[in-house]
Amino acid sequence: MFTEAEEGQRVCQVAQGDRQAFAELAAYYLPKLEQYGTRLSGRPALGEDLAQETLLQLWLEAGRFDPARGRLSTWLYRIARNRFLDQQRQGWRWLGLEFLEGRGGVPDRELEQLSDAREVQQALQRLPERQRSALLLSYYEGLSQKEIAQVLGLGLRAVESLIVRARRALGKTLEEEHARTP
Amino acid sequence: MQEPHETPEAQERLGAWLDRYTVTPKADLERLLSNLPPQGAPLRAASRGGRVASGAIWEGLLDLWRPAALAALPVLLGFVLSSALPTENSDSWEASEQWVFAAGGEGYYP
Repeated sequence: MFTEAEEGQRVCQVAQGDRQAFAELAAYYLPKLEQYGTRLSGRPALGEDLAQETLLQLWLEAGRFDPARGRLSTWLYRIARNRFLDQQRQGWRWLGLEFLEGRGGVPDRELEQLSDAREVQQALQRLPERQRSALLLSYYEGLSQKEIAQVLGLGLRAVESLIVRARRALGKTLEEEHARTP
Repeated sequence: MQEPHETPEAQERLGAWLDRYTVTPKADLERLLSNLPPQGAPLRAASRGGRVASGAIWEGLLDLWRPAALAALPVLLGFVLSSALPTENSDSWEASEQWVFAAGGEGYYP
């Protein structure tokens, strides 16, 4: 975890071609961006690509990062989300679930968890993208509502409302799902 | 009036479900670092040429090509069968000469 000052310093170094500074930032953000991308798209392979391409953009365009407009994390999540939306506009169909394949020999308890994970993943994919992003950034990535507002380019109230609606919709879907399959 | 899925218990269950959706990161940092393009490279070109992960692209292409290949299969089979099986005129001298003519042969026509 970096302080804002440390992050800013490293981004300046990256802009000057410092590979060591980039490696330190990438080591911290690569897994976080991949987790966000995977949950956002429902596809582990796409999550991996989104994370790598986002950091590639950091390497190539670090000079464009403006610390006055927010933290590095919000800039990176914003890039990852925009890339996901670009790919969606290009007509890709992301169905997901392949990460659940090839799970031979998994104990029952883990199988149950995988089943829950699949249900959550499917329910998340049914949410509108903004609600999904707001919930993911809030719940899994630990961003504040102000930071989420910067990622999504929305006001604070809109973000608050998105998170409430996302939780309500997700809860309803999962409760119904579990009521159907005891 | 509170909906059943909005009770504190339901919110707790939602938290438990969300916690079970774990993602294990697999992206290779070393691969990313060893494939960094020169900093002057334009973003799009670097992203295409120096692509460090292409799993999703291949998945996407397969997603597009699988249905296309399946749709084309009957047509291909029909073409292969029609070429292999003799038709009514296929063994006649006249039909074969016409075929040579049509395909840009010597232009001889009886």
